[in-house]
Order: sequence, then C-alpha cells, then structure tokens
Amino acid sequence: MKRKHLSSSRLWIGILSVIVFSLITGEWVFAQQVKEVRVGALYTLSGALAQSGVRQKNVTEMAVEEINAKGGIKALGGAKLTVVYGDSQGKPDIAVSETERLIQNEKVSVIMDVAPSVCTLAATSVAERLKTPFLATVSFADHITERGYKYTFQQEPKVLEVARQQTIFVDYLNKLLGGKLKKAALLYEDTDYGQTGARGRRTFLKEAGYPIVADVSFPSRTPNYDPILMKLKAGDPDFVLDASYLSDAILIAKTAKKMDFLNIPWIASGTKTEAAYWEVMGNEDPGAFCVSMWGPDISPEANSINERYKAKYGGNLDGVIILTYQGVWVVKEALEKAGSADRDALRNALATIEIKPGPTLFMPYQNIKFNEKGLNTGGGFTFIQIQGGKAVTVFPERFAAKKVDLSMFTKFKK
Amino acid sequence: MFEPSFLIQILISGLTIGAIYALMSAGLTVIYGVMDIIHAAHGEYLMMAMYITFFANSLFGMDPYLSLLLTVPITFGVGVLVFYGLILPVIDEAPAYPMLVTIGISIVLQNLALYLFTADFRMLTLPYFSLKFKFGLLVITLGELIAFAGALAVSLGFYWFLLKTDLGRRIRASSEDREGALLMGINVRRMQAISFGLGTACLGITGPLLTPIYYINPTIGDLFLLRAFVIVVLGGMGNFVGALLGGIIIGVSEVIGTILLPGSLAPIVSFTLFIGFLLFRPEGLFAKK
Repeated sequence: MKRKHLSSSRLWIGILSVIVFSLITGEWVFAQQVKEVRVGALYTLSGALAQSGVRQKNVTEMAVEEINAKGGIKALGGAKLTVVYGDSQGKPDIAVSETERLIQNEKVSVIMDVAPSVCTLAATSVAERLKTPFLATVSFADHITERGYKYTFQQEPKVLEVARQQTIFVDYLNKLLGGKLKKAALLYEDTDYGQTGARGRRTFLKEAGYPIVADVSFPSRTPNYDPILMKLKAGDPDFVLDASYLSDAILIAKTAKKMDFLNIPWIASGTKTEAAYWEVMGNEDPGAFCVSMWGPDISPEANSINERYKAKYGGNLDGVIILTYQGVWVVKEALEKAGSADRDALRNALATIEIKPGPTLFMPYQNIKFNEKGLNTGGGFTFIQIQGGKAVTVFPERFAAKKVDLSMFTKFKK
Repeated sequence: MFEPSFLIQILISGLTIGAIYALMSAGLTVIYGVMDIIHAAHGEYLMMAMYITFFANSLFGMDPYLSLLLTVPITFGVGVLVFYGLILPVIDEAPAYPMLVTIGISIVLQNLALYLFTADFRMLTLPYFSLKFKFGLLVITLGELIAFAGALAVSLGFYWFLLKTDLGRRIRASSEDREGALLMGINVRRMQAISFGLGTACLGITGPLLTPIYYINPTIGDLFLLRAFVIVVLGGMGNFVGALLGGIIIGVSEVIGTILLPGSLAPIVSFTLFIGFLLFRPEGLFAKK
C-alpha cells in the first residue's frame, strides 16, 4: 500500500497552528487556571465557645472580600477565594468528622483552624493523614507542632512563649511597684490549654525567682468557684497568673471580686483581651491584665482594620480574632507563592514563605516564617489592661496606648 | 487548712449551692416520679427563666426578684403546654420515646435562644447584690444568701404542699399507684400535666434567684443538668425528700472534693459517693415516693 507522505507545507502549518494555539491558551495551560480556591475554615460556631467562633467567621468573610475585591489570587489568574465553613462545636470528635467532611466532600485545598486546642490537635491529625495543609491561627498549645507533622502550621508562638513573656511583664510591673511583687499564684483550667501553660509558667517563674505559693487547677464549667479561690487566697499571693476560657473567667472574676481578691495584679494568658469578656465584665474587673496578640490601639493601620470590622459587623476586633484575619492573608500569600491550589504545592509554599512587616503583616510580630516543625518563629505578644471598661495596650512600650494603672492594687499601698 | 473554722466555711459554701441543686432536682424527680419521664430539657427551663429575668430588668427595669411573678407562671404554663402537646402523644409508648422528645426540645430551645439572643454572655449587676457577709476566707453575697434561702424555702414549701394539700395527695397517689388512683376517680392525666408544670416551675423559681450570681447564656442549663440527674438517682428516683437531701449531699461533697483534690479530680468525691451509694443501695436514699 502506498503511504501518503505528510507534505512539508502541511507539516509547517500543523506546527504553526500548535504554537499559535498554545500562545493563545498558554495562560490556561501553564497557570492551571482555576476559578476559585476552596479554603476550609473550621470554627466553633455553637456551644459554649460560639461567641468567639462567630466573630472568627465574620473576620474571615471580611478578609476574603478584601482579597477578592483586590483581584483575588493573582498567581492563579485572579482566582477567587471561597471559604467553606465547618462547626466543631468545641468538641474534638466533631472537629474530626468536620475536618474529614471539608477535605473529602468539600475538597478544600487548605484548612484554617479551630479552638480549643483539644480540637486543633484532633483536626490536624486528620489533615495530616489526608495530606491537607492546616494553618492553626488561634490555637497554640505546646505539642501542636511537636508531632513531626508535615502539613500542620502554627502561626502563633507556643504557649511556652506566653509564659516567658508573662514573667518578663511581671518583672516590669514589679519595677513599677517598687519590688513588692514576691509571691506568685497559678490558677488554670485543666485541659491542654491550662496545663501546658502552667508547666511553662512554673519554669519561668522559678528562673526569675518568684516562689509559687498556690498552684490551683479546676475543671472547666465548674458552677461554684468559692472553694477554688479560697485555696488560692489561702497562700496570700502578690500576683496571680490565670488561664481560663470565657465562661469560667467571668465567674472567677465575679467570685474574686466579692472576696476582695482583685487588689493584686491578675495576669491572664488569654480571654480577658476579648471584647466578649470586657463588654460584660469591664466594669467588674478593672485593672486586670491579659496577654494579647494585638489591639486596635497598637498602630493606625490596626485601628482602620478595626473600624472596617465594626462598620460591617458591629463590635470590636480583638487579639484572637485578628489572628484569623492574619491567617487568611497568610493563606493568600502562600497561594500566590505556590501559584497552585494543589495541596502539596500549598504545603511547600507555607513551609518556605516569609512575610515581613508590611501590607500583609498585621500582628505585632517580627515576621511570619515557619520552621521545619511548622512553627512560626517570628511571633510576639503585647499586654493589655482593662481601663475604663475596655482593654488598653500597655506593654511593650512601643505598642502601648496608655501607661499601666496601678491604683487598684491596694495590697501594696501603705 | 483543716481547722474547724475552715471546715465550717466549706460547709456553708456547699450548703448554699446544695440548696439550689436541691430545688432543681426536686422538680426533676417529681416529673420522673409521676410520669416515669427523664426530662432532658429540664435545664432549658432554667435558661428560659434567666433570660426572662434579664430582659425584664434591662428593658423594663424590673427587679429580678419581682420577675418571679413572670417566670413562675410562664415556666409552669410552657411546661403544661409541652406536656399536652408533645409528651402526651408518646407517653404510652416505650419509655425511651418521651425522653427522646425532651432531648429534641432541649436542642430546639437552646438553639432558639442562641439564635434570638446570640451566644453573648449577659449579666445582671445591681448594687445591693454585692452586700457581703464574711466567714473567714469565705464571702457570701446578699444575692447568694437570697438564692440559698429562697431555694430552701421553696423546696420545703413544695414538700409541705405534696404532703398536706389535697392536690398534693392526688399527685402522690398518681405517682405511687397509677391504676389505684384512676380507680379512686383521680384524673391522672391532669395530675401528670400539673406535676410536669410544677417541675418546670421549680426552675422558674431558680432562674431569678440565680441571675444575680451567674451569667446568662443559652447553655447555662447544661451546667446544672448532669448534677441534677445524679442527685435524682442518688435520692431515689421519684423521691422528693431524697432529691432535697441528695442536693445537699452533692453540694457539700463537691466542695470537699475541690478543697482536697486538684483540678478535674475534684468531682471524684461526689461521684464516688454516688457510685458507692448505688452499689449498696441501688434504689437510692429512699425508695420511690
């Protein structure tokens, strides 16, 4: 049989058409044009911790709108971010099933996190198994990044760092109070959050030379705090380092107030910086200190983000919620770096990213850079004090909006 | 730490919360006693009463104790309506059915509250709540004292009602022997409805009493519900005096546990007591009455 040869002209037309075709659609071929990137967000939207979770959802929506309005993910041809929400209800077993649903049914490229830490620990192990990057913004228990996982990233420094910063702050207060702060007391709820923090605090307090005269833990959601605070007060401490979730913090402060126990500095590791706390307890618990991740008063940019949130959703932002806002931008930057919505590409982008102070760094950090364990090494904290019924940044001095108010610590007045 | 004065302070603290547990459990045990129903939505009536108290104060400036005039009839009425509307249709089915219905009611009420009032914590602070009485390290506020005294008074009053009044006797008869009561011409169904209402009304009373000393939140009912069930079983399911005594016992043992043991080990004392009791006396402190 005679073969029909491909004439040279036909061959050249063929090659030319392929070149032209790929030039026209090259963007589609090379940049893997996707219309949307699906991001999973697993928050606590019901149950006792719902108040924080709902605010997290709001700020996530706000960040996503801003990102999409500015052109979406430019490296993916302007692909929009779409967030799929899950509700962990604050329970680890539900967190697990929701993580599976987000990854397997909703096919998200990355998941943003959940509190409390017990849920994060559970959810990240599922994400690891299903090879999906998980950005923990709000949880910071010690061993989230200590399990050799490749897909877990933690934006906030560990609980241990909180303890170290608290001791530095105690030294600062001690100087202001003329060296009168001698005896420490610890009060903490006894799940992972409280216990890990307490371990760290014991170490740093010992190093700094403060003996611990009362070390009291309690189960979360106790109805009666009288005996717990009696144990604490029996040691006659000069300051208290406390760690509890919102509902307990309210009852503890109420009980401490009636016992005249708020006449010494109480430095909380969290919760009291949230609007949800001082909107209710601001006038009942004046002078309370708390570690904070952020405040609208740390800089003019911070204030404008807060005003935008307030205009849209009502109520102010606080440290916990701004972490989520930052997290969405970290995901956005990682997507830009990866140029892909593929889970492994995204994972690698997160592992190598560096976000310096600038238009996408909103936290009082040095930078955002995850080490080989997935922990951000550039993080930092501020301290607030409840003054005039709201949280005011008082330390470090370069972020402070007001000075520390010592007038309520009447134990040290002679 | 264990000198007599400290132990007395512990006792007072335990009694205060114990009285509140007692009143809540009394309502629960009456419902069980008369109808064999495990009322899983019991805590939600407390939540309902507390929200009514809160809004009556924040919107109309009503003193919380005055809100009793609102919360008691409302919780009683809602209880009776729920009984006729939701419980009665399934009351003669397998025992699990009414309980499942109450679980459903609990979920609906909690989420309705979450939707209407948000998850925000509310608090009522009036100046006279914080008048204080000191017992060594322990401080009791006027609000707590009124809660204790009120819970105790109502519990005892309820007991007197069951023992001495005609209606009370008819309720007890329906609880002890349903068929016998029917034969005696007692309208058992109506007794059950009234008992259900009285059970929920106990929470209508507890609500305004607790509002000055707690926060208000859709999940506040859960805080007390597990203990209420433990107390009802400890006291003998359906036994009124048992619930009262059980409340005091659990309240005091909880405080003792908290003083002696750290963190989550503290409830071990009260629950060990509970388990130990059931091992040797499964019917509880008293048999059904």
